[in-house]
Amino acid sequence: MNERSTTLKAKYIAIEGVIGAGKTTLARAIHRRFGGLLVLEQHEENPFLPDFYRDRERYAFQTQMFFLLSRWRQQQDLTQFDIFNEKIIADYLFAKDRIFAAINLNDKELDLYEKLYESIEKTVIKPDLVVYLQSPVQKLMYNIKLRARNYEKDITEEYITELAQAYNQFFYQYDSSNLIIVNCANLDFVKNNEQLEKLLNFIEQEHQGKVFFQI
Amino acid sequence: MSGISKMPNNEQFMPYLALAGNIGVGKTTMTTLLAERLNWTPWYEPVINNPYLDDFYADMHRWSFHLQIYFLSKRFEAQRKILSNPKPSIQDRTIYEDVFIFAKTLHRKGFMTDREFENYSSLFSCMIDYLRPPDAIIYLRAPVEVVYQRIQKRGRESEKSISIDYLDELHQAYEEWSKTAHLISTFIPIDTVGYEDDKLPKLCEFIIQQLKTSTQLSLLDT
Repeated sequence: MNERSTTLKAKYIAIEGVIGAGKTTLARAIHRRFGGLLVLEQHEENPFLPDFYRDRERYAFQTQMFFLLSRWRQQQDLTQFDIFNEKIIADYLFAKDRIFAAINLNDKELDLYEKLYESIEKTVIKPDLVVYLQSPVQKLMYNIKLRARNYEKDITEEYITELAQAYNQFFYQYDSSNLIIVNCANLDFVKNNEQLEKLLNFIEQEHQGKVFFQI
Repeated sequence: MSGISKMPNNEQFMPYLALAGNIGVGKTTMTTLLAERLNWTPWYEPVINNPYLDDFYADMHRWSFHLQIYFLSKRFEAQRKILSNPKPSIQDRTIYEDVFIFAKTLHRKGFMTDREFENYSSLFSCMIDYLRPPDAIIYLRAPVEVVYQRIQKRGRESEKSISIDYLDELHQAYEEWSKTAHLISTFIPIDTVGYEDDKLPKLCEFIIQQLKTSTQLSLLDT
């Protein structure tokens, strides 16, 4: 662990944002600067996904259950670590599963999902700071094309728009931890080092409730 | 200091018993009798307001997975609550039966696909880490014919259409499970044939005697 880690006020930071927002990139940058334990979401192959793309209504629940299971398993791995002494930087929030469920499930399924989710959530360690990367849809589409991940190649602009709305709504109501909403419209923390430094310095400080960061 | 403990952090757990057994064998009645006799909290199976039961009977291929996730979720929630109950508990049916009897039977009959069953089972495997097994599982046994008669006699509307073949399949699954269930907890099979109606209190006493000889449970002034 690097010595500067003691300057980071939050103990467990989770980065969130729609696909293509730069979650993993920022998580890595925070980790490089402050040390700690870097936790990256593993994208397991979901056996229901091909059927889901063919017939959404029929396979939405099964698909969602697999994602929930996969994310829960990864969260369980976290409990092996000494989280009271080590900082955690994650490129996802467990609760993201809920955002996707709200989009894909019908009301009756969502009801069932929510009950199960509530029980599971109680077993999951929660971050004390979430960084939400809020990006314009055009920028997200550009990033997705640029990185060309195979499982993302069928993603449409329509879907990203829908996701962006769901994310905004989720974080509008979010109050489970402190939250930094980062406006990414004019921000480029990948190429612009000065901007990245500003963002890292902001994240480093102590925050209460919902705060905003923009360039 | 280590990471988050998976169990609620009370060192002294309250005694926790569970009753297992086929539909109609008499678990609910015995749960009530034991709970009254021991002054323990009874935990009944939620039978009403199941949102997928009608769907399930209409199209079992389409809705088995949903129905089983519903049961698993409910039972997980209940078993977590039992963990922090300040009084000793007695539970009418365990989460293990959901998995090893009901889901397994639906899978064997092809109503749940392989990947659905695998997804379901993995979810259960994750849950296990957060559940404390009962101190003892009492397995109430009876031949299928006897169970069928008991179901007809009590006349619960939702059970009227249950066939003797289905009961037999469940019975076979129970018998198979009973060979390995001691790995979960102290497992006490109890033959219930001949114990009907007014003879049930006698069976209740017999179960308490069995608990005294097979477990270290503190059964107070019994």
